Amino acid sequence: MKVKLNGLSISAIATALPKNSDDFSELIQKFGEKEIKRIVASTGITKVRVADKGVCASDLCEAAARHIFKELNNDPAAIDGIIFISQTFDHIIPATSAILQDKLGLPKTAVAFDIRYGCSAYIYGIYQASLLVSSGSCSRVLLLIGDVNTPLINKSDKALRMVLGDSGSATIVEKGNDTLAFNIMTDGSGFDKLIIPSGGARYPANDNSKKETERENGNIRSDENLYMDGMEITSFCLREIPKVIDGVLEIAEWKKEEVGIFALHQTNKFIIDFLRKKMQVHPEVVPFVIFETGNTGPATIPHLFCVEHKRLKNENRLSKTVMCGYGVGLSWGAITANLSNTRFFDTIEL
Amino acid sequence: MDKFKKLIAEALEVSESEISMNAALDSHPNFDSLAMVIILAKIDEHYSKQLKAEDIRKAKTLNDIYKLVEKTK
Repeated sequence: MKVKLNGLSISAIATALPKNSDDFSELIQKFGEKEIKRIVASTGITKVRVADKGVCASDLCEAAARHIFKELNNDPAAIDGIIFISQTFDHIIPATSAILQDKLGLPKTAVAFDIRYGCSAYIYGIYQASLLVSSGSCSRVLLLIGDVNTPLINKSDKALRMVLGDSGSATIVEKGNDTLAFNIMTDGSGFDKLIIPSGGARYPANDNSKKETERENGNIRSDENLYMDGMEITSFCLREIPKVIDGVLEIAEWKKEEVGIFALHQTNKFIIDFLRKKMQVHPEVVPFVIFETGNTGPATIPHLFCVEHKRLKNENRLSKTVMCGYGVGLSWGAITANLSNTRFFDTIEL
Repeated sequence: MDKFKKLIAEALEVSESEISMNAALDSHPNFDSLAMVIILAKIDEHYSKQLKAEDIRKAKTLNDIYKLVEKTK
């Protein structure tokens, strides 16, 4: 899907992280320091943020939204659309966006819906919010994107435990003067490469799904735990991401050299470095910022902006921004946008 | 072949003398799923070839992977 949408503004971006971290000390005891250091050397991630028990993705997103309202003195009553994108919803039924509409004091006239996506969520979110605004359905959309994935990872799965962290974000998309270009792709043949097999209608949770068994490479997990086929997912990233970025640049009619920042979903340092080399661009144009937070799934792109915004602004990098998200589905996409007038906020913690 | 061996040595963080093209993959130091991912990326970087994960997974030796590189267009 390729499209250009007009009359838009991404006006504010904020993120919220849990205060607590996992510094892998338990894994060092279990697997040895040498092994853990070798993984850290590759991923670049020294610790991951972990939400307290009972804290949901929606709580982190709510905090990020309240931060924007407070700092900008924004009236929640002026928001006429709310989208929540996550894979860790408050309940199976109903939609978390409806609960957030009430909690945040948005008007009852607001349209509210959830979308289920992971690391491509920010691309889907900006796309869907832009559609609501450009169609005239809404004038200001609150986009809440986050996940609390750590409870879904088996304690002994070092590959995932040493990469994935929790976080939430809030973004406001409203009427404005900017044009955004979108290039979004899907390949459901890879649905089982990043999956929690049990808990849905296809394979309801039962006694069997709770059983922890030894799987490939000695990994232990149950069918209710998150599984990632690291090799397939890496292969997918290396193959598809440069192409989807070239595609969006073509739609926007931008040259690669003009782009101030490529805000790539922060997977791990190894993949980001590889993609940067393949794209033949300098490190300052493709930042990696998740050393002490981990790959916070759907919210790494807003997190990157909230960490880097002062430098990006000082170096005038934001007028030509490319965002690219990729992951579960398989699903991937890229956006071009002008973020030079966007208000960014330093990450808050709770 | 020398280029390939150098790439493998880098991925496994060992010297080239520790690499045997015909020995079982997991007989090499540091050989695990992380190493496989790094090898996959290095092949892409140095040969501009994208090996399929399912093919590379069937390989028993480095020679098998080298043959895959040669076969892939």
